[in-house]
Amino acid sequence: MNSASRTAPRWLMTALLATAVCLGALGLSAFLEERGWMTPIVGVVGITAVAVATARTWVTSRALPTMIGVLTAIAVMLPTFVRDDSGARAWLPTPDALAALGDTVAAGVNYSASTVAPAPVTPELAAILAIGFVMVFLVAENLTVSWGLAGTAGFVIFAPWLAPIILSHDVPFLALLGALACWLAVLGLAHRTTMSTPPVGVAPVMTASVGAALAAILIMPLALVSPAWGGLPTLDGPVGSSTTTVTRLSLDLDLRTSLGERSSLPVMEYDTSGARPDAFKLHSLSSFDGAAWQRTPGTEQSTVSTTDILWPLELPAPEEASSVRVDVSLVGLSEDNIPLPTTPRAVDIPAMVNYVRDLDEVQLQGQESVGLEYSFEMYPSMVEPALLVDGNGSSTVVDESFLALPDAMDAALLTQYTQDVTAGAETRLAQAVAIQDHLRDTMEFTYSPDVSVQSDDAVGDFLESRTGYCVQFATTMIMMSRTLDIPARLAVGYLPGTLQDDGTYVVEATDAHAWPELWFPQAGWVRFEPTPAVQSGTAPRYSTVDSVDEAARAEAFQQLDEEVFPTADANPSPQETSETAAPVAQDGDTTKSGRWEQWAVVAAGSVAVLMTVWWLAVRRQRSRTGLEEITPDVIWTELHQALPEPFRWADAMTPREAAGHVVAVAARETPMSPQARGSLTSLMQCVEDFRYAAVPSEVEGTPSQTVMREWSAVVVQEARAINKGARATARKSR
Amino acid sequence: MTDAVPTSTELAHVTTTMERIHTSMSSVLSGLDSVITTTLTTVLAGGHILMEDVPGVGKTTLARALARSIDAQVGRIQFTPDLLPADVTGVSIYQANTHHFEFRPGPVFANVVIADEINRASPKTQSALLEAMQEGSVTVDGTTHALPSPFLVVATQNPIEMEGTYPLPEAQRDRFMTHLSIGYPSADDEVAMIDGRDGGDPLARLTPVASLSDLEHASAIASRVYAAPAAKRYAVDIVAATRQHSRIKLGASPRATLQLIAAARAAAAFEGRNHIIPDDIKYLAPAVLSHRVVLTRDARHGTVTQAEIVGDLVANVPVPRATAPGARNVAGSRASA
Repeated sequence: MNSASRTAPRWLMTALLATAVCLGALGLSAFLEERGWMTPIVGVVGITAVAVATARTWVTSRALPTMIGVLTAIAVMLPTFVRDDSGARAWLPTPDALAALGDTVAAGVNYSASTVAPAPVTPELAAILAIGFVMVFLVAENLTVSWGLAGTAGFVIFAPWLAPIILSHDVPFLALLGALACWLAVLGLAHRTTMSTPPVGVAPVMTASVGAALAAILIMPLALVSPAWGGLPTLDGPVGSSTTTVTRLSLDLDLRTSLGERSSLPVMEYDTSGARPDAFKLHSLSSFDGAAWQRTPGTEQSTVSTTDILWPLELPAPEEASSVRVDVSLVGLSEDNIPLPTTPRAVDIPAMVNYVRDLDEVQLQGQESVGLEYSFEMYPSMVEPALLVDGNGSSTVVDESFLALPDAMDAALLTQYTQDVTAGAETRLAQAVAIQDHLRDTMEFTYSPDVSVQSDDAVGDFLESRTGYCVQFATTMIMMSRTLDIPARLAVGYLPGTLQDDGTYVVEATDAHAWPELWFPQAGWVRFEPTPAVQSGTAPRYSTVDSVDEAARAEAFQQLDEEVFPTADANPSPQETSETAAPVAQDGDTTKSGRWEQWAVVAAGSVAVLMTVWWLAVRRQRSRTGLEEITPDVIWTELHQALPEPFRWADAMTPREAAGHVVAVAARETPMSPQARGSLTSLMQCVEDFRYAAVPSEVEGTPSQTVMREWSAVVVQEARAINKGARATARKSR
Repeated sequence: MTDAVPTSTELAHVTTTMERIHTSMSSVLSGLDSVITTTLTTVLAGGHILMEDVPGVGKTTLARALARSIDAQVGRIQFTPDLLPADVTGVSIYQANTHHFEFRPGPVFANVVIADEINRASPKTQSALLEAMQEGSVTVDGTTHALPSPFLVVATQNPIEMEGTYPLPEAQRDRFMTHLSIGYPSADDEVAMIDGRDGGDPLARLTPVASLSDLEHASAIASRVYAAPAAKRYAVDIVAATRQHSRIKLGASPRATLQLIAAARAAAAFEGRNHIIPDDIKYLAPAVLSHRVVLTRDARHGTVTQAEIVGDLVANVPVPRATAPGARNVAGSRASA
């Protein structure tokens, strides 16, 4: 059916809403690093909007266009965000592709929960942003166009703005104005069309509430799931002293002192050819007396050559492609050591340095670090989950001091606590991840630079107050790990800083940080991140539950390998590992499909809940004796309102007279087409039957609401055309 | 009265019967289709008709044409100032041979009574007829005599401004269901009228086209036509509006509402519909209401007539929608009004 004249405001509203929603995405720019992430959101929302608007011109259903929008969004997001194993885009919504999309979303949620604002945008984060904004758009669009609730839709549209506004982040003012303008335009358009829409009953109100609640649930994780996003900009670091120009980390790390005001002096600047390092490490500490850390000098020293990969252990040769080159300038750092990433790396430095293997520090030999420029190649992929296995005779490799528990501490209590936390964790990595996740859990612990001085047992105090900063979190993880006989020590350094407009990263004194390093026999000292994301950002990629599974599989394979080939090297080469990935993948499939089932259950549950709500709403609506029903009377009133002025009939006209009136008014200019007259008569007959006919069976015989709406639209269209023609003639004759 | 809404077969009976009478009457009275329709609608509704117009426009002819088209007993009373009640109802005459008084029925004992120029008679005589209309029976010398059924009075009267008339009291005007005015014919119709007279009195050529039982049956069917709540509401709204109109001193009575609905039922049946639509009510409202309202003195001294005021009022009463709770058309909400 052609009813362009009536649908014009509808597609316009859809377009305006899509614009408002995309501008809302800009509102999150305070939380995200680059601007490239706008493209997928605008693309997905835009294409969905076109699909919805097109659907609305063809169907009059309220829900169907939104359903089509959902399907379109999925169809667009699959090739955008999902790649199969060979890297090809997924075009078809196969179960695998959908599962992969689900995985991407899950990864995105994890990422957003663990990152700190402003976060670099990964494809996963872009995917959940795109999904979130598409949902916002679909809910707002459905509320506005289907139910005429443009006002309520405003709550949905502006929900994404709440996070930056409440957290007093910078809000792109022009974008906010633009979104407001779009919404006001939609309100204006909606006002024009709601005149002809049926009175709003309880069902749309319920739909609105449910929709708003869903939107809130969907958007909130983006903004608030992580206290990181709600947190203050990084204010934290181990106790550091700053002079006017240079910064030097204090290594008197006493857990009983609160973190003072930090300076924002730049410490170092760097450019990277790829990902930024997780952290820059300066010192390693192993001696803890229950309240403060002391530094112990290293023993194994060696001179550094530019080609050596510096790492406490000999690792399998890295793949060249995986290296990332970073050029560093120590603009304001005064240290004996140079900051280096926590992954295997080769340093190219124009100065005499020593590599202290047991401390994993690169020490300058009598040279001032301020103003020093150097570069390093880092190999982040070398520390991979397959290496994070327990191995044999683990802790004997390292010094006993890495397992020492201070006397001031209630070791038994901490052991018990740790065992509770790591219950069910089989491997060393699993235990470490369990501890790390426990400490990062914002429901359990609160990040605060202020600590209350209590006793010499700082870890005990921390577990009591559950409040502290990075040193408390790191120390606690170290002590908990030591109770499990995992060698652990404290590393001190800097967080990777923030990206500047010119593409360089700048690390400030406030980025000072401390974290635990745990010993893995085949991987060496491995960084973990127990401090909540508000300060530390993401946890290392290998310290996830997935990695635990991967490491467990690798270990299982190693044991198998040792049994079958007793002479084989205990350390499998990466190549072997990758070859063995295939048979193990069977296991992977089962866990994957298990997750797929979970998703299916969640999806089915959501659908069931939505259907129930819908059904209740419809039932409630029906029980209200047709008040909100789309009766012929309602459509008749719509027609009356939609007709141009001369065609509108007086209240005192009966349906028959009204129909006669419309035909007569038209006849003054151009007689109506038989089709329009027929539609008018049919609709009039429906109204008359509905109002006055005796037997319900006659009412049941009335055509569907859709058919009546079509009739009405035909009449309106013709009347408008005639009216336009009449005005044109009048203008010409003038 | 059974509750069932008339079936289409029953309605077909009504329409064919009434169309036959209509055609028959139209052959005598050219250009009076709508007056004939209203007349027949009133007949179908079992009401009495009051025709008011200047002499010579065909009031009596219409009444006679109706009477002749139905195979019915016709009584005709020419009202004159000296007409006595007994001349209408009949008298008891002493029979010398039997020593009894024998009742001689008056002209009112007929199915169709044509009361010509009813406002020329004295109020006492008018009352005799109107009481007969109201009671359906006549009491003479203590004996009650039932009038035949159906009983239909078609009264004609001259406009009250004319000399030598006694206006009917309001209470008595209320007895008539409809009040019709014929008006002067158009030029064409008048020519056609002349042509129709060429072969002698056209009334003489009329033969009955419907029996009394046909008519009674049709009336019974029409009374079962369904009146939806929205339609009833519309009738009530219109009647209520007469009570609030600024130029009407005395508005229409609730009886007017009942008669309006009854007439509307007949009009619907006439058109073969089993339910009233507001157009029926709108069409009949001037005929049913205009003789029941009393205009204010200002209005009377102006040039407006009651029919015009009622017409104006009907044009301004909104047609109710069927949206009020319970107003929805379901069998359960039907009331046998």
